[in-house]
Amino acid sequence: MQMNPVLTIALPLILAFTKIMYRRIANLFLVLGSLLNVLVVFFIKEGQYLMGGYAPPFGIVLQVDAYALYSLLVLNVLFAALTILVTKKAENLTSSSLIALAALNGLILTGDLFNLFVFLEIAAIAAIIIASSSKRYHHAFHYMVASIIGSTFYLLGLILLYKQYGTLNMAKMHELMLASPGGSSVAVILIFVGLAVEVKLMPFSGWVKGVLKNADEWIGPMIGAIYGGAMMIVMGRLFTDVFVVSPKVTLLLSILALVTLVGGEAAAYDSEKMREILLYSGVAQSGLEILLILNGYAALSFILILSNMMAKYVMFLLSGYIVNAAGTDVLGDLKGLFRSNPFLGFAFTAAGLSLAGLPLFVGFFIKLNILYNLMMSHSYWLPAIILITSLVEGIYMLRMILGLWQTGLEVQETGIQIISPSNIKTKYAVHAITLILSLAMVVFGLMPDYALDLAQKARGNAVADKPAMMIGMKGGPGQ
Amino acid sequence: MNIIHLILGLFLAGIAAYGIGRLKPAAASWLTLAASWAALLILFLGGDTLAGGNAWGLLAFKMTPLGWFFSMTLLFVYSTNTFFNLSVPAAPTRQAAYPMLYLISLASTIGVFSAENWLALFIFWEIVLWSSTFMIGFGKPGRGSIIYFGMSLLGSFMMLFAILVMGTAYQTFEVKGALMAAAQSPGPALLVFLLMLFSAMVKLGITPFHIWMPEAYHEAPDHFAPVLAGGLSKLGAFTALMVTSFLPASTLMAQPWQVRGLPLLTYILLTVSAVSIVIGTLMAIKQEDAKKLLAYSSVANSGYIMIGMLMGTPMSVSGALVHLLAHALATTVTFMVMAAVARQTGTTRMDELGGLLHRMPITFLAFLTAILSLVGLPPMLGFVSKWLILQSLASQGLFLVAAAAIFGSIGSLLYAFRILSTVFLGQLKPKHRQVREAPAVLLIPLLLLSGVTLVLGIYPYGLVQYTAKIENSLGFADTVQITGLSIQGNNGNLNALLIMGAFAIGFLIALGIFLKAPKSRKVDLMDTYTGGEFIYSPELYSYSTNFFAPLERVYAGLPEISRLYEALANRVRDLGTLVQYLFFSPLPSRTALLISVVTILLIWGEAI
Amino acid sequence: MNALQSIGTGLGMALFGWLLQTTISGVTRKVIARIQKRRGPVWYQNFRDIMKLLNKRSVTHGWAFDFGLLVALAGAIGTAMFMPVAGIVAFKGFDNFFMIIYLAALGVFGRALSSGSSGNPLATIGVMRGLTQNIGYKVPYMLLVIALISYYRTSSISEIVELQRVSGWSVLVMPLGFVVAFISLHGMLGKKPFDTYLAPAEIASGPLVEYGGKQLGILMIAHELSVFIEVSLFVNLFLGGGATLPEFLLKYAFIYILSSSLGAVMGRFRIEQVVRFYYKVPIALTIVQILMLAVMRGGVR
Repeated sequence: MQMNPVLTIALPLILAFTKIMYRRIANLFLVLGSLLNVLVVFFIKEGQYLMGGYAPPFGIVLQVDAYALYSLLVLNVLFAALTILVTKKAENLTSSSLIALAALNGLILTGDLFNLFVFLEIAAIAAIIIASSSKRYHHAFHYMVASIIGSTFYLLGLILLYKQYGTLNMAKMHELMLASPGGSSVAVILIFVGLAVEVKLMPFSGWVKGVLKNADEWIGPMIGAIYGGAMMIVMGRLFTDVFVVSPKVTLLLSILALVTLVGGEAAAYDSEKMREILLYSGVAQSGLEILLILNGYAALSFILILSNMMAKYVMFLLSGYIVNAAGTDVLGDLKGLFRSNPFLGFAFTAAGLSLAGLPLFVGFFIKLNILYNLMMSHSYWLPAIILITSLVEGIYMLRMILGLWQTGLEVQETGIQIISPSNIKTKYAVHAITLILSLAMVVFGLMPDYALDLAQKARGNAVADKPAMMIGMKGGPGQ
Repeated sequence: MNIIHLILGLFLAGIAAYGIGRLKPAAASWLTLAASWAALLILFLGGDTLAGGNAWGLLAFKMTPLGWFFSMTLLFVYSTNTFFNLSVPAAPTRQAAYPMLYLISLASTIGVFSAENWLALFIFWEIVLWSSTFMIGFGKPGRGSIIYFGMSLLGSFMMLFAILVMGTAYQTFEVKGALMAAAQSPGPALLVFLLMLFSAMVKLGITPFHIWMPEAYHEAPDHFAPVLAGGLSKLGAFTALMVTSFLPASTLMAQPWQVRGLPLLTYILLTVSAVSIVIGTLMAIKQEDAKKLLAYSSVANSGYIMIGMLMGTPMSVSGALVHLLAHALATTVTFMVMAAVARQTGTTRMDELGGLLHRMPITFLAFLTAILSLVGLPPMLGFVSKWLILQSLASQGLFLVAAAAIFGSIGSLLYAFRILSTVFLGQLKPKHRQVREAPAVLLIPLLLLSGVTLVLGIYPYGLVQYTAKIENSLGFADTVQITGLSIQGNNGNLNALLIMGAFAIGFLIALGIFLKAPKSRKVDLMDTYTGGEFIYSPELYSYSTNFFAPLERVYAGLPEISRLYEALANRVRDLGTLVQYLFFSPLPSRTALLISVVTILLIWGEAI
Repeated sequence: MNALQSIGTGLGMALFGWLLQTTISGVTRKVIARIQKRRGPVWYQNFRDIMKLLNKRSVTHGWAFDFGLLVALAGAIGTAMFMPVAGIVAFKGFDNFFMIIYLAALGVFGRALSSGSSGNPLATIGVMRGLTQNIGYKVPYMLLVIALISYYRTSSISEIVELQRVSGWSVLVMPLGFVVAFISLHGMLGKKPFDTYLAPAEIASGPLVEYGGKQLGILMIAHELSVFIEVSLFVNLFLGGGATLPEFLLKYAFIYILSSSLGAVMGRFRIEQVVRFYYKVPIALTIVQILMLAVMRGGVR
């Protein structure tokens, strides 16, 4: 059986609107819709799918390659899991959530730059509605302002590109850009900025703090992990498959990415609150991801994006529950929390260690390969900077995790837990899903070859890919 | 049975221990005991020819004499310490993960010592790191575990960088091969050499990387500190020795400047190690907590090990290896004794202890043995190693380093006496009147370890012979020589058995005189000469705080290196605060402004 | 020489050392008394004291108190057995400098252990001062000897004595070093101004405060033996030992009586002054000396 990928967009959209008639079982719509989507994704085959029967440069086209397919899979699974776990929170947001899902799928699938813009707008609106569910309208407004400016820049870039090349089809655009390079730099920069707002690149990411520092278990994983990941996938698509970027622009944008990496890690190091640490570390990670994308390490950036997405998802989800139970996310007040919640603790720890790039977890091999490949192009400086930021990241990550495991002095002396809500009441589903995700990180950490191979295959034909030499458990070059 | 089975078995036992530990904590402790002793037995019987092999791709193992020596040392420390795991005081919070982490870190250390390529070595190295970090976290709350983790991660990343440099520049990750390749062609070899040695220095706790040691040892659970001190820091010596023997400093520069026949680089590193000895000694002298004192003594002793390895003569390397074992055994005992003392009295602060010799005599004897070995007095093993190292220094004519070594050696007498005197000698505190000797299960490892220290100190020939074998396998042209019962030095011989014999004869004579003379009457500790004062309270009648105050006054102005790291961390924080202020303001208008301005700047930047 | 003969020689050496030093310290007491315009005791007064003490009943503070003493005496006897005197050496090839220093230190440690376990803080303070002084004088001294060893390319005391017979005394090789070593020896012997750790007026005679009877007797024997070790080490290392016994005895007596007489006319340092002193002048002189040696270069062999 084979399914048309447009279903992943259409299905949630249809459900979003039909749901209005069935208010009482709205939740069911959401859960079923997202599960159906997962099912659909399993039956999608790679290829080009035309809409409306026009040939590629003119008609709308959905580009389903391995890149899109794996991203869709991860995104939909995570989304479905979230809807199952957090149904209560999503009660009033079913429509916007379904629309968000449709838009994100569309973003990943579309092969047309204008469609991308449309989906970008829809996604942004949905995200703003989701963000405003925390009743902190000021921050939602902040997000709205930022994303409107972003999409305006995107549109501006789009117009410039269309004026120059006369097409908005990605494949065609790429051909034309290859044929006549130069002249498109301003447009590329504008489009980059438009997306950079969404992927939290640093000077453009002022909204992130407000939205995520108070995120609950619904907003956190949604905006912090799923949205960020999807947008980064789009960024990867555009800057490795479509645009031919001049070295000068690459350099300029790489500097921004590097500043983000360094600044984000420093900001996270400075924070004392769990969610702030997570959000700044997310900012820093996106800096690294963009750095890799811009410099053409398509496969590496791809696998980094996916693994970060999963790790962040777990951590934001759990931090949401922790805040619910404890009423605070100041690390000093949460000492010894995981002692009474060892399974949550294990999931959080595994995700954190993977993010920090420690062995036995998949993050290690990704980081190793990044460094190895950067070094293969005979640059010692970039790996050194990445290692230094990793050091900072490792320290604050472990400080957070250890703080959550380690009991405070009072507890040790009296044997009584000071924090009363130390037992986080969660559904078993939360335990199950976070544990599965963290075990996946361990399994891939022990057998990274499969994941690395897949990423390599998925992005091996990416236009701007630098052929990466992957070191897995099975060995690597020089073995 | 081969190494892969051994490591895998320990890993699985660790996971099983977690499951069992959640149901029945005591059973998990017994499992760690059984598993680690079984591993020790297998490794001992297998010897350094224990089969290796390819487990799966990267994870290939091969036992070498050097690896076997280190593995045995660590396994011995780990497995004797399992007795202390048995008697962990009932913790207020659950520690089910502890046995698991314990066995995982044990398995990983064997992995480090038998890995065939640098990547596998690094993977195991890091697993050891994070598992031990969590185990330290089970102890006193504080910054110790995170300082340990941060410093170790710094070391690990330096090592990773060096590994990747070797991998990219020489296209090989093979442990020996990569270093040999680096020795053949200069290129980035100097970078590799320095980074590798720095990372080893972090692990060994050489200044300026030593700041984690006192904090981590102090905060680690009392039953884990012995492993941390006696075992894990020795990982650094392993890589350092491989680097200095396969990639000697003399190959790094075509025309190296020489100091006393050694490359300038080696001389500088030797000086750093010497500084480590001096600083470790000075800081140990002024600590008030027994565990911190012992931690700084580790800093000093690591300096000796490093000096031995850096000099690179057969005798000095033998000295380093013997010293490594001696220090591992002795410092494990000292920390175990502190664990036993803490278990019986509830503190390791020296001013709260005293006179325990009368309550815990067997513990005291074990401690005395260990302390004598730390100081390097005969007939303990520590003497043999210090003799070898001092011999090498004298024959090389490295006076500056020798001065530090002597200073450390005499200084160790000071702090060793301090800890001995304030914990075991002097007045017994009234609240400790009821303290009992540690339970038998804790005395077993104490006696075992101190017994080995003594036996090897009297009869070190087999051990020294084995270091000669290690030197052979490391490609030394000649090795340390033993003829009959004497170890041949460059300018003198050592016959440990003879020294012990002379001492024993002396002891018999002394005993004869003592027994011949009239018996003396036993009096109470408070029954002393007071110079006319009336004394009532034993607490006040002891000398323990600010023990070496007159000496401390001489070097009171010594700056602390941890300040440097704190300043560095604060700069990172400042940068973070700045970033948060500039780029993450709650004002939408500022975000809008930033987006616009930066976009314009980008376009402008592209145009010029 | 078979093993028994060696042991016999060694024991003989220890006995000789004890007799020699106890006699000479008796003589010295007389000399100092004359310096201070007193009559002084007879030359064999120390023997009398020891015999009397060994036959007196006394008190003990527990087994470690006695055990430490035995270690102290055993260390002293064991070390003395290795000491070469006037060409006689019990264990040829094993009279290693480092070994002697460390074995003697074991005796020191035993003494410290014993007095620490007496429970008297005055004793502990005395030991603290003694150890602090130790770290003062030992560093320049050992450094000098290491320079000597590096110069002669051997750390065997008897071989160094032999080599001095060929090339002249070490005092000629390193005159500054000789001065430093003498100052260090002065501290080692605990003569004024370096007798802070005993300082009877301040800490009621320090480490010795709790001793009486046979304990004090044993301690005195151990003390005489360690003085013998220290002085004969000095004579062997710097003054060419002695080809014949009288030559050795002459040098020995000269050095010991000189040091004691100097001590008789000096005041006392405070303990940190001791450390400061040793780390200023003697260390500086040592470094100058080592540099001079380095310039001269070239060993004997």
